[in-house]
Amino acid sequence: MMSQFILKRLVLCLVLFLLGVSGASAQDVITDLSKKNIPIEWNFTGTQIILFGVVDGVEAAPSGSQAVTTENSGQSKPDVIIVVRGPNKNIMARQKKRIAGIWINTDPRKFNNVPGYYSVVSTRPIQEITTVSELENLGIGFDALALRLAKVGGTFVNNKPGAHSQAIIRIMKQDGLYSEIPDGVNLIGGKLFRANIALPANIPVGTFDAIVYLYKEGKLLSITSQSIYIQKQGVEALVYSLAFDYPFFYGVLAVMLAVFSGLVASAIFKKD
Amino acid sequence: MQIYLPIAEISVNLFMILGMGAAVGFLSGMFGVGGGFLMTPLLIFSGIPPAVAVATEANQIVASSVSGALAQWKRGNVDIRMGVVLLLGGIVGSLFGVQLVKLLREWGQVDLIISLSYVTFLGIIGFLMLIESVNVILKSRSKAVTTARKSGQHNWIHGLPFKMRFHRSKLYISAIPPILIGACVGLLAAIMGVGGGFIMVPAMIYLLKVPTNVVVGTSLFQIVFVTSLVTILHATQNQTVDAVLALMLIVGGVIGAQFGVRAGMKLKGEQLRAILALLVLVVCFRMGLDLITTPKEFFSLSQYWGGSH
Repeated sequence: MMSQFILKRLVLCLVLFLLGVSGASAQDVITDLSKKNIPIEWNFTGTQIILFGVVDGVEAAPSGSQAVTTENSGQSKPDVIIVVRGPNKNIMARQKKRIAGIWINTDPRKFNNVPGYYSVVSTRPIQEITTVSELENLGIGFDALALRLAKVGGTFVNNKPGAHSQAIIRIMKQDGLYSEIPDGVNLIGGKLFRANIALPANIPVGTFDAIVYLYKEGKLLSITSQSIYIQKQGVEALVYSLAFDYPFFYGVLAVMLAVFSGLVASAIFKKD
Repeated sequence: MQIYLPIAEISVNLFMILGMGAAVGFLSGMFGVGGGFLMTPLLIFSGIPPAVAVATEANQIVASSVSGALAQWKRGNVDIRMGVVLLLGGIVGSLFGVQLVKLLREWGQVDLIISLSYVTFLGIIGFLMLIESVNVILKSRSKAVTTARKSGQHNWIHGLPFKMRFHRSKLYISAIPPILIGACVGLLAAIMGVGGGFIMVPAMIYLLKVPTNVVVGTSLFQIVFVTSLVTILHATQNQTVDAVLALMLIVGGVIGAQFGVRAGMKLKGEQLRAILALLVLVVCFRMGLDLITTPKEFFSLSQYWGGSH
């Protein structure tokens, strides 16, 4: 799945490169993040990062072989779509059904490589920026994600993503891990852009990709990508790594801590 | 102030958790019970994953029972032989219980089984306690003379093999019933995150006829070791022990218990038991309600490891 994704991006880069060579002035985007390393410490309640960038050479854009026929050709602004995706998880989705009066999890379906975080932020609704088939090919947006999940989980109903894959997206949205902000990218003077990316408290740890797609008049001009690293730090990191890397030692330590604090507490309160 | 729990992986309010620990600590000090059967449901209600709530509560019970166990030990109120036999059963029960939790987690049914266990046990115990305490209250009002308990009566337990002599309890009985009782308690500790005193104490008094002065000490002795084992087993098998959460609960619980003990001295035993019974039934009702009400979301997600199975 991943290699396919990389391949697609390589092909796209190649296409863009060829476009650039073929005379049309290349569209360059320079982007940066307000923060690339995000520590999760004991008091972490979620955070926001700002992705900002400059579109280079926009003024010179309507050149080259393509004839400009659109209505707003005079001052057409570029469009930006930012996709931030978190590390993949293997998710089991189950449907609750009433059995003997009680709601019970039934019908489990496995989904490999479900993004643990997925956020699409754009200058306007992504369906207005480009075609549905291109969004699907690039894997942008929740329709594309639902389709991919359905392929992975094998849950197609009448060629449409089934209830399980829809539920994953719905629940992840409720948990604040998936989001879609169609007007979240602020374009300033047609060249500068900035967007807030919300990272909630329950965010998974790992390497995140922030991918910026630059469009103009429905044409993809460039793709740039950056990484965000989210890691537990301090006490959180210590407790977590002990619990998962040295579970027996961690268990013994937890018991010793409990015995110790129980005895200390009774000693303190005995005095009065 | 928000604190991020490393294992539960959610952010909780420090004062809410301390307050919950103190409230349950207060009640357990007042009623002389462990409090696990109140704390675990409260943790679940406040959004902690049930498997984490159970394992972490087992860890807290170690802290809340260790000083009591030590005090009873010093006073000679622990029948060590009985305690060890109960503990042997407890080891088997908790090994089985933790493994069961692991399997149920894979099947996606752990939340359901924890809730069902709570509804069943809290329902039965709350109901029995309520009847008993109301009867006592009514009888004391009508000034009826309560019949003395027939002691020394032989029951079916005396027919069982593998008899052992328990000097401290002045008993010569089969080792099978205490092993079974211990195993039940170990199982409950692993699945429900309770000490199991509410099962063990009546079972020791009514089934085994252990003298009341050694019952509490001996059961505390078993609880400390079984909950310690359950904590270590859950940590190794399920990675569900949240030490940060446990520490907050321990601090709150210790403080609450001190005030609870004082408050408890002002109330009569049967009144205490009636209040406790009502409390148990309220928690039972709330848990049961969650099982039968139509959920807002008909799907649930869980993570699984190992991509290819």
